[in-house]
This record gives sequence, structure tokens and C-alpha cells, in this order.
Amino acid sequence: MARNKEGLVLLLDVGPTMYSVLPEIKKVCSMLIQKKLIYGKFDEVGVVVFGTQETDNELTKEVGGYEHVVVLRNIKVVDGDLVDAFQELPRGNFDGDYLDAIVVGMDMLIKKYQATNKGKKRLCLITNALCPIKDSCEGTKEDQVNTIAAQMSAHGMKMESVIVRGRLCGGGDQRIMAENDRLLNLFSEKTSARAVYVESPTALLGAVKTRNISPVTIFRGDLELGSKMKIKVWVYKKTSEEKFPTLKKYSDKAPPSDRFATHEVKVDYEYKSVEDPNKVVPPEQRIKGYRYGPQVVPISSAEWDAVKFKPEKSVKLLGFTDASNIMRHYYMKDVNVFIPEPGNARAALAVSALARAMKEMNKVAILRCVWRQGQGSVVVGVLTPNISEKDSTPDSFYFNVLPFAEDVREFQFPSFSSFPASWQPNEQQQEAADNLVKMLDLAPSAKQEALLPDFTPNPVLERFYRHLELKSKHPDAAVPPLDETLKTITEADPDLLSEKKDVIDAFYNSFELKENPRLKKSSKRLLEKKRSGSDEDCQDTTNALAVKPVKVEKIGDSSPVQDFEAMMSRRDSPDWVSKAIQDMKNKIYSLVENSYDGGNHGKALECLLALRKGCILEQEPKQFNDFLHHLFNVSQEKKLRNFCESLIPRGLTLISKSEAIDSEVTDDEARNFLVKKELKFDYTEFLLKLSEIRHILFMLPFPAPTRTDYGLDYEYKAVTLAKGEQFSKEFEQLNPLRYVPVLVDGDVVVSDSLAILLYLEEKYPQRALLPDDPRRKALNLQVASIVCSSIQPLHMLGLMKRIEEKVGPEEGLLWAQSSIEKGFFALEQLVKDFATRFATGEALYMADVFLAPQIATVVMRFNIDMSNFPILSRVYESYKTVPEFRASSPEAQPDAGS
Amino acid sequence: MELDPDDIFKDDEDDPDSEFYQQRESSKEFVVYLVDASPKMFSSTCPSEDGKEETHFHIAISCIAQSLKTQIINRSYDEVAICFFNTREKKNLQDLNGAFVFNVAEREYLDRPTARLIKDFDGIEESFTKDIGSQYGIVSGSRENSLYNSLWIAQALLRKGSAKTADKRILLFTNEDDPFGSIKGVAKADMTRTTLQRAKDAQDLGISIELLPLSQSDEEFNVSLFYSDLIGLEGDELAQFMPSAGQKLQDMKDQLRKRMFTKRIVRRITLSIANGLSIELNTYALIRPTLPGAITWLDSVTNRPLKTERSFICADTGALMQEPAKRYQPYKNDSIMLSVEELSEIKRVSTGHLHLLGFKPLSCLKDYHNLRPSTFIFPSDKEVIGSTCIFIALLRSMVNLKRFAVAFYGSSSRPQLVALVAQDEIISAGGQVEPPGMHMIYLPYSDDVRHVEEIHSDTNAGAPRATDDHIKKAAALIKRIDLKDFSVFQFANPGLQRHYAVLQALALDEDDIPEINDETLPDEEGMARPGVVKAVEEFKLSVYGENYDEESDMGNGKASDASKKRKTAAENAAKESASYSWPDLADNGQLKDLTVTELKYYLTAHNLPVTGKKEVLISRILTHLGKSCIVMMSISA
Repeated sequence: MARNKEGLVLLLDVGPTMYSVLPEIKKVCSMLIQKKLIYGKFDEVGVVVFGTQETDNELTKEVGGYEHVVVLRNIKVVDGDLVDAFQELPRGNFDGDYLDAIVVGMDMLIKKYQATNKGKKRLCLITNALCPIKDSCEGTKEDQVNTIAAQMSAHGMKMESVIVRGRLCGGGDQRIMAENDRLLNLFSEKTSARAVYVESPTALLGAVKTRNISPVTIFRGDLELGSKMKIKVWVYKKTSEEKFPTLKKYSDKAPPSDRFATHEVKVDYEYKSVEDPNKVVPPEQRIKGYRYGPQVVPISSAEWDAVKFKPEKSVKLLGFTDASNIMRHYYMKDVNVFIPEPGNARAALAVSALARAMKEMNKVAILRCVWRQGQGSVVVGVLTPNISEKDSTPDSFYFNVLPFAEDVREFQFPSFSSFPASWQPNEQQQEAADNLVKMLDLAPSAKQEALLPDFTPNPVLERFYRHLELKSKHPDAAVPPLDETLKTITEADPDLLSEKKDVIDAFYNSFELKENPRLKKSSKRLLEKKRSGSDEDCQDTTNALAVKPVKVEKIGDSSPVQDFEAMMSRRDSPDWVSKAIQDMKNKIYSLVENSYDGGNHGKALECLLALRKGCILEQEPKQFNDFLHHLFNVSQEKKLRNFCESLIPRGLTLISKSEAIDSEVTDDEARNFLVKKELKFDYTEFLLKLSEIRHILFMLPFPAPTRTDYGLDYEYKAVTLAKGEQFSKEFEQLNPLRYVPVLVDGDVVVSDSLAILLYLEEKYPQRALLPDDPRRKALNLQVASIVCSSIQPLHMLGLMKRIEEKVGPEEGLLWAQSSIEKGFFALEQLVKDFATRFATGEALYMADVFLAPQIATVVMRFNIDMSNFPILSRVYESYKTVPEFRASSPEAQPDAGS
Repeated sequence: MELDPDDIFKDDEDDPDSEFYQQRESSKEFVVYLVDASPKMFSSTCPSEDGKEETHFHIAISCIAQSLKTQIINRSYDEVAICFFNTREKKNLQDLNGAFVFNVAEREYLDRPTARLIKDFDGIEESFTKDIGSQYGIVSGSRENSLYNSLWIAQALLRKGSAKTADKRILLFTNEDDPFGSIKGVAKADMTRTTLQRAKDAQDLGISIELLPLSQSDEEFNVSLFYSDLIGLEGDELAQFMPSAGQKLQDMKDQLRKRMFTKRIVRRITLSIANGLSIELNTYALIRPTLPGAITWLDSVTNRPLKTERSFICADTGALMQEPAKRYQPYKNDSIMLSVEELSEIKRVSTGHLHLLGFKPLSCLKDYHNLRPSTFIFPSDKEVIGSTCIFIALLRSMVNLKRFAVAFYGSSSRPQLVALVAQDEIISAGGQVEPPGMHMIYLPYSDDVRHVEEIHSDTNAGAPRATDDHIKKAAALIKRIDLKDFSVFQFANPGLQRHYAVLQALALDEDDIPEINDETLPDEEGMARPGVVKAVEEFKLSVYGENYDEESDMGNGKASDASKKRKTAAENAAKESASYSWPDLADNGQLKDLTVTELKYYLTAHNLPVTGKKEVLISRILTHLGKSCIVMMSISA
């Protein structure tokens, strides 16, 4: 058996109260397996779920009992199937008994490994421990736990329990919870088990150790308190950065037919003389040179060994000092931990006494450490006490490296008191800041501390491994968006922000920020501004036009328009015009791109106007027209729609034939360029609202066709299903089936979303919803049809109610989830070769009109884990950038919340 | 670049290529040292560290020498010139009286410091009277103004290079607070005026003039007599300028060394607070491990520099190829390919700025929540006016409420959670000890934290816990060994100092490598004080009990087994090694015919490292036998 091979059994509670966190559990388990596939390919994993209706485990066959515990997978070597297995995690409908599951898991480990693999057997339990465990026939529950814990210790097993609490479990019987907590903590006391409580999805993702690294001591020996006393200690790393994996370089030189190709790339180094590049020096003929001023002093490693600093391996105490003398920001590196030599009770006692005395007196110790013999440097660091809260764990110390005199750069900074009065906060501002610091609290006393480093997963690595998994299935998969749960790490928690909105608003209103008007260089950084001061800037640049500098060679930051015109007018080389146009394009692009709240838009527009003028003058219409198209697409993608809007009043459109003879654009086309885009969105908004399933749209006095230039006006009328409005008389006249929606166009009445859209497609062809290409057209109809007939009806409220009545209270949701996932898998397959920005291409088509609300609804109502559907997720992200979609999402409806 | 496998200063975990540790090529600094060489500098003394009296001239010279030695290592691209004034001889391009520019061969007046310059300058005091000579340059009845002349010379020297790319400074050492004291009337006023004008002209050209005044023990240097006007001191600055009387040599050197660093912004970032409210910040690296300078590979035969060429070879076909754009990761019996763009997209989970997430009490920041040196942040109003005000308000609130901010820093190399710890300004008599601002502390993620404390938990008996009596004894011990005014960075890095000392000795052809003083060793004397010894004994007795024998202590069975094994191996190696005639083998070039195991006998027997390839082992043996020699070389700049 390989030395570091681990045997792990995951014990997952899938009872009804766990439904809300199952997606997170899937994620963290997949992550665990994905990492094992890379770092622990020989590790073996078994999966047990409990709280299921079925019972399937060996113990129940052998001795009876152990009901509602299913062995999903026996202990075997990790493989790709296991990752997939979590995607179909069953949902149970019984209250799980975690103690039964633990025993089943132990039984599996014992049968698999017997006495071998000591210390490498691990149980990992994830539960909310809301349900009581069964009473035992022999002895109390405590006795039961004690017996099990003793067995665990005897077999050298470890256990990790992740207990889901707080807002994740919705609360339960306090008495039962307290009992379970006591029992689970009893494990921690009696055997090597660890119980952690998590209250947020993020913490759940971080609570399970996804990678097992066997700890290695960096020092074993004496901690010397002077020459008279020594304490035997072992030093380990306490923190160590888990690095992004180093990927190998890939060679595509081997022919594709070569099935044994390694595709590896060898990197070879050759050392050549600087003066004579033909002369290759063999590696052993090299010698290291160290710079000393303009000189280079050659010293061979061996010489160096002879003269270098050679301290003796030792860890010596220099003294104690007040903890306040060591500021936190002087900690230099990752942290070590000093533990007393295992099995040495006297060392443990000595460490305990020192640590506790230091804690009481608020002192720290300063040490000088040389970890290894032959190490060429020493470290000086600070030892701080770590008082153990667990009886079985000895007290220890943390050790942080401190800087040497050479490592500190003593820069002088101005005192805040020397700043002008306008930079000093006044009383009211200080109060606003106090409130913000007080109220934006991540560690409120009633709740668990949010973003505790110990429970915060690394979002980048999580994303990497998920991407790897996706790519293993679909080699062309795009990088998935950052997991929603993990967004609370990279951005402020929206719940917290909305909860403390008044405090934030007060803070916001107390201070004023504005861009420095005297700023010469526009920085490339995003500059979010409170109140746009860009008008001033534009003024400056236009005024500056009067003064013409000579020989401008590139477009600067301060007066781009002026520079551009100067460059265009240079006649000393024909290249200047194209260079000027190119430079200006880049400038505009960077202005638009780097403007957050429209701060640079004014400037960008001025530049665009100048560019247009220049292109007409120099008869380069294509340059400008292409650029404008490009800019348009970019701004749509980047949510910079307001930039496009601001083009209209300034008449910034394509250059037409009448302006420049080379142009391929007619006057009409030019005029409609901006308008058309506008129309597209209004129409889309309308369509999206139309297909919003929960609502009805009816009584629609359609406008005269002449008005369609400006979009379709319609009256929106909601029927709230929950109130049963669809059963009203009035509605029945329109739609006998009483399903929504219904379209009333003059005297034409059409119900059923698909039919409505096809009707509109025929009648109002100015915005086609179906592409011309028959293949794509069919694809769109297929998507629409799948949504309409194979997904949407299967999760209608009525049906679910019915199932719940007939089958069982939890079955409704289960039914809906499985139908939706089935449908989504089909959709994902269907569109995978076509989807780019939207489901069937770059533009919004009928498929999107059906998909958008469908995805929004199911994500909200049925808690579907969209990470299984990377394409749909991506497309869905694009929908969110379409403003009309946001406006028509269920939450934004006029009748939302009723 | 190939990494140096046995670079002694590198921690295994440190990645020298990571963006974090890279230091940028800094802009240059041009310095002219103006040293007053008047007889007064030789006659006035002040006590040195070891109690001896030292002349002011000596102080100035050793100060410069020290600073040159630091500079040649840290900032060897800086250029310096040394000019004495009030001299008998003259040597300068302008041929002005009373000023002597000191220089050595192969060097311009204002140029990078060389080993020769440092060496010759070290010996200047002996040769000074003979070669340069000292005399008062400003005497009544003469129109000569040596101070004016020297300023002129300095300014002319600093004409080189643009003020944009280089910091230009004149450092003036003198103990004469009233240079025109010996003359009277119109002549004095006239000379004062022209000298001040000369200084002002230089300052207008972007040259800063700094005064390093030397006080006599009985009479303090009075800055306000003349020099306050020259260097432009006003009001409070004037009062603060003059350090206390009888300033020590050490202080002077420190002052110089501190000035060696110029403040540089690492990155400009924004902190977005909420609602799109973002403020502008600059980050600074106040604490970074100092590593010895970069290595240049040389040809050991010619001592000429080498360049490294990297080539990529396909392992399957042996074809030479461009640097491949794709990377792969073996996963599930498959190789998953990833483009470089994809990888950077994965890492881009946030913009490259700071996003405030909330606040926590300082007690939530544990001692083990640390990974790397912190980064200092200070507000700026350069682009967004109002940033500083918000920053100050937040800082004060955080200090008062004892809270720190948690933020996400979306850097491109490692996006990370950070703690922003507010720090109030701390000022002591000597100046600013801690600047006001926030320190960004990089927090670990859950998988970066290891639960090693629990590995060795003893679940049967429970871990031993100290009783009150034990703790009392420990407390008594702690009180005894108290470092009262411990300051975090009071120690020089002995490894680094040794490195520099070796380099310096080799470059200057010195025979002995000076011993460096390891400041990090414990204070044996203090530890041996009866009070301390008694406290240690009592604590020991209390926790270990009587008749405790450390050597035969239990618990370490395994380790002693291993060490026994090592011991036998060493003995065996010594025995084996004795059967070879090493010097003969070396002289005949037969070492390469031996096996690595055989070579290791020698190394083990002589306590040398046994790591590395065969060539390395051989060269290590040769060096140990004294069969190779150190060659020196020089590259023209």
C-alpha cells in the first residue's frame, strides 16, 4: 500500500432539511475528487448517503437495522465517474441518523483495510444534525458514541464533521440540536475528530479539506532557554500557500495518429559567450559571478561553501518582550507552529506553562532559529502562544519571521495632521465613517464570523478545477463564470449591503469625490466618479484647439482631439493620416473601455466626432464605419449602452455616400444605424415580457404600423396565478384552457406563447425572431418547443400541487428538478455547436426568448445548479447584459411580490 | 533563467520569479559629497562609540566610506563624486581655488563607485595632508570663496543626466556654522549673497542640497547663522533640524543609510467601498526580504559573461520549436489543454483593485493568518480629490473601534483576501517610527491553513496542562528575560552581511575576509546573570521535576534510530575514504572515473554537502583539497 494513500468515506446527509445545501455539497465533493484526481490518484474514496428512503448497506444485511443509509459507492480508487456521481446525488425524504452512517462508514473502512493504512483512514461527515439519532437499546447515546469513538481510535481513523447551521438550515428543535452538538463534540474529545460549524454556503465550500498534505517537520530539536534549559519541540508549517498548479508545456509536433505521444516539451539551456555567440560553454564550465559595483566577482559554489556564513542548527531564545512591541504587519512569511515533542509529557508541560504565562502577561518571545545544519542564514522571529481549546491537543506556539534591519525601508510619509483642512474629515464625516466601520460587521456576535480564512475556499483554484472537469468532457468548453457562492469572497455580500443600506448611503452622502481637474495624464485605471465632471474636461480640450502645437507625433492623453488634427494635417509623410486614425481609434477605445460610470464618455465622444470629421475630410469612410460598428458591439458587450445612446443627439452615425463617395452606406442606412439598434431592444423587451410564463399579457391595442419605427406599444396586464385570477370569467373568454399568456391584437386573440410568437413573426417582420438559415431556424423552433412542451409544463404549479397531494410532500420539487435537468441536458447538447453570445448565435432569436425566462425561473424557484450546464449558464450571463431582459425578469415586473 | 539550485538565501517556498518579489530597476541617483577640509575639521573632535575622540574629518570620511560600501551593493548604478573644499591643492575642471575633487583611475569625476575608489578612499586620511592639504579658504582680505567654488563645481558635475531620470543631490559635511565669520562688512554681505544665490541656482536646476552638520561637544552647530538660508529651512523645520548636540557617528551613518532608499510607489490602486464609491490609494513595499544581488553566469576559463539561451524541444519528435502557447494538465488519463489566455481568464476573478467586504474586530486576525510580507497603503488625491479625507476618516474609525477591514485584492498573480490593519502615526524623538496608513496583510485560504496541532493529539490521556504553579514560575522567568526596548528590525542579517563582506574582500583583493558580528546570537552574559539562572532553574524544576536528564529523555526513539544510522554511515565513509589517495586522484584528473558513491565517501568524511551532480561533487572535492583558485575579473561599465 502506497505510503500516502488515503482511504476516505464521505458521509452525506441528504435528508429533506438538507435540500437547500445539496448544490454546495455537490460542489465541494466534486472539488475534493477533482483534486484527488491530480494530487492523489491512488487515494480511495467511498460515498455513503443517509436520510434516503432506500436502504442499501452491508450492515443491514448482516445484522439488521441501519435503515435509510445507502452506500452510493464502495471504497475504490478515485476516477472520473465519481465526479459525475455527485451530480446525481439522490434526495432522501427521511430524517437521517448520522450515527448509523458513521458506523456504516467505519465498517466499510475496516473491511477494506483491516489493520493497515493507519492514520490514513478518514471519515468526512456533512450534516445539519437537526434530527435526533435513534435511542440505543444498550446504554445511553453517550455510551454509544464512546464505544464508536474507541473503535475509531483503535483503527486509527480520523473523522471530520461539517455541521451546517445558521441561515443554511433554517433552524430546528433547539433541544435536539444541542444534544447532537454535544454528541459530535464528544467525538472530538474521545478520538481524532474535528467538528466544524458552518453558517454560509461559502464557509461550507471551505470547511472540507479538499487536499491532504502530509505534514513534514522543518525542525526537530531543542528550544534553548539559555544554556541551562531546553524544551524538545517539533516545528511544522502552519500556513503554506497552495499554489496554482504548474502546467506543463504542450507540444503539438507529434502526428495526431501517434497514440503514444507524450506531447512533452523539453527545455534546453545553452550558455553562450556574450562576445562570441558561436561559442557554447558547457554547463560545468560556468561559474557564478556576483556584482560588485561595475565589477563582477566570480565565486564558485565550492568556494562559496568554504567562506559563507555557517551557523549551527539551533533554536535559541533571545528574550521576551511586550506583545505590543511587535506590530502585526512585521510578520514576514507563512507561519510555523512549535509543538512539544509528541509523547514527551514534560516538554508539553513546559510549553504549556510558558504559553499560558505569556498569554496572561501579554508577552511574546523572540527567537533565533537555524532550522537545518548547513543552512546559510538565520531567522529571527516572534513566538506567540496558542492555547489549545481541546483537552487532547497540547498547547503550542505560533512562530512568525520578523524582518532584519536590511529588510525594512524607512520611507517617510507626511503626518495626517500636516494635510490641509479640506483633507481632514469633519465631525459629521467621522461619525459616518464610525457607523460604517461598526455596522458593516462581518463578525456580529449572534452569527458566525463571515469570511473566516480557515473556511474560505480559494476561488481561483475552485474555478480552475471546475474548468478542468468541464474540459475533460467538452474540450472546447469556455472558462466558466465564477461560482455564484464564491462571489461573496470577491465582492461585498449584497445581503449585507442592502441590510445596511442607510449606513452606506449616509457615508456616501457625507463625502465628496471628484476628479482632479488639473490632472494632465489620464490614467488607464478605472475611475469611478460620483458626479461626472467630464464636461469640464471637454471644455478644456475644445478650448485648447486654438493653440496648435508643432509636429505632433502621437496622440497624447491631455488633448487628443488637438493632437489628432495636428497629425492629420501633417504633410511630410502620407503615413501620418493612417497613423493618426489608428491612434485615435485606440484612444477612443481605451477611453470608452476605461470609463466606468460614463466618466470619460464626454471625451470619447469629442474624439469620435473629430475622427468622423477627419475621415470625411480624408475620404476614409470605411475606416470610420468599421470602427463604429466595432465600437457598438463592444459597448453592448461591456454594458456600456449609455455610451451608444449618447451618440444619437450628436449625430454620430455612419458616414454615408453623400458625405464620402467611397462609402457603401446609403443615407438611410446611416440615419437608421442608431435608431435600428434602439428598436431592436424595445421589441425584445416586449417579446421577453410576453413569454414570461407567470404572467399574462392581454388586451393589447396594437399601434398603427407607422409607429413601429419606435417600437411596439403594448399594455401589460398581470394575472397572478397564486390568487387564481386565471380562473376569472373575463379571462376564460379569451383562453378556454386558462393558461397564460394571451395576446389580443385588435380582434385577433392568440394564446400559447409559441403561437403568439409565430403570429408576431408573420405580422411584424421588421424584427425577425427566426433566422433565415433553415438549420438555425429549425434549431430555434426545437428549443422553443422543448421549453414549451418538455420542460415548462412539467413544473407548473398545478402539476406540482397534484404530485405533492398524490405522492408525497417532497416529490413535487424532486419531480420538477429532475424534469428540468433532463430538459436542460437536452438543450445544452442541442445548442452546443451554435451558441456564441446567445443560444443560437450573436443575435437574440426565438430560442433566447424562451430560454431566458425559463432559466431565470428555474434558478429562482427550483434551486437548479447551473454549473452543470456551462453553455446555458454562459448564455444566461449574456441575457443579463441585455437591459430589457433585466427589466422583464420576474422580479422587475410591476406586480412582483404580490 | 535557470534557478540557482543551492542559493543559500532562498527559502524553498519562495518563488523568485513571482511578481511579488521582483524589484524594479530604479531610477538613478547622482550624489556629490562636499567635505569641508578646513583645519577646524581636523582639530574638533567628538567621542566615538568606543570612547575615543575622533576628528570631524574622520567622521565625515568614514561616513562616506560606509555609504559607498552600501551603495555599491544596493544601488551600484548610482553615481558619486567626492569633493573636498578648503584645501591647499586644487583639482577640478573649472580650476577653481580651494577645492579638490578626489578620484581614482578608470573613472570619471562623477561615476559609479568602483572597488578601487572604495579602497583608495579608505586610505585617504593617511595621504590627505601630503596630496591635498588643508587650509582655510575664506579669509578676510581675499576675494576667494571656497564654499562658493565647491558649490559651483558640484553643480557642474551634476550637469550630467536629466533631472527627470536621476535624483541629484549635494551632501555637505561641515562643522563651520558661520563660514563667513572671519570677514566683515560689505565683503561679508556680498559673499553671503553670492553663495546663497549659487545654492539657489543649483536648487532651481533640481539639485537638492543637504547639510550634515557636525557639532562640537561644547558648542552646538548653529544652523540659523547661515545654513538655514542655504538649504531653505523655515520655522518649525529649523527647530527640528538640528539633532541633539554631540551626535554620534552611528547616527550619522544611519542617517545616510536611510537616505539610500528612495520612496517608490509599487502600484496605484483603488479601494471600492460601496455604491461605486472608490478612493485612490498608493501601495508601498516597506518590508521585503533583502536578497543578495543577482547572479551573472561567467565562463570560468575566460571570466567573460555568458548569456543563457533557451530552446524548446518536442520530446516526441525532437523538433526544435517556438515557446508553445498551450499548457496541459494530466487529468483522468487525459491531457487537458489550456491556453495561456484561458489561464489568465481563470485567475481574473475580480478587477485588479481592492474591494471592501466589511470589518471585523482585531481579535479575529489570528497570528497564523499570514503568508507574505505586508504591503503599506497610503491615500492619494492625485486623481480623485477627496480620497485622502475618506481614508483618514476610515482609518481613525478603525483605530478607535479596534477593527480591521477585510477586502478582496484582485491582483493578477494571486487574487487574495486581505486584512487592512489601520496604523496611527507613531513619532519618537528621532522622527517617524511608524507612518500613518494601513497595512495590507495577505490572508490564507482554507486550504492554506494546516491543522498540524492536532496530529499528535493524545486522545486517551489528554494533553498535559500547566498548573498555576508552573505558570507562576514561567511568569517569573519571562519577567527576568525581558527585552525592554525591543525593536523589530534591530538586527542585521548575518548571512547577508557575510555575503557582502566576502564580495568586498574579493573585489578589493583583501587577504582576510572580515569577521562579521552576528547580532542575532543571544546575550550569553545576560543569560548567565544569577537572577536569570535562578529563574530558569526554578522553572525547570517545576516542570521537569528533579533528577531530570535531558539526554536520556524518552519519546524520541525513532529519531535517535535515524541519527544512529547516520552516524554509522559517517564512520563507514571515513573508513572507505581513507583507502583512496585523493590528492593524487585530483592531480591526475581521475576523480571523474570514480562513482558518485565513492566521491561521496570523501565528502561525508569531511563533512561537506553531498548534494548535486557529479561535476559539482568533483569541484567541491577539488576546492576542499585547495586545487582550484579564485580568479577576479572586471567588466568595463
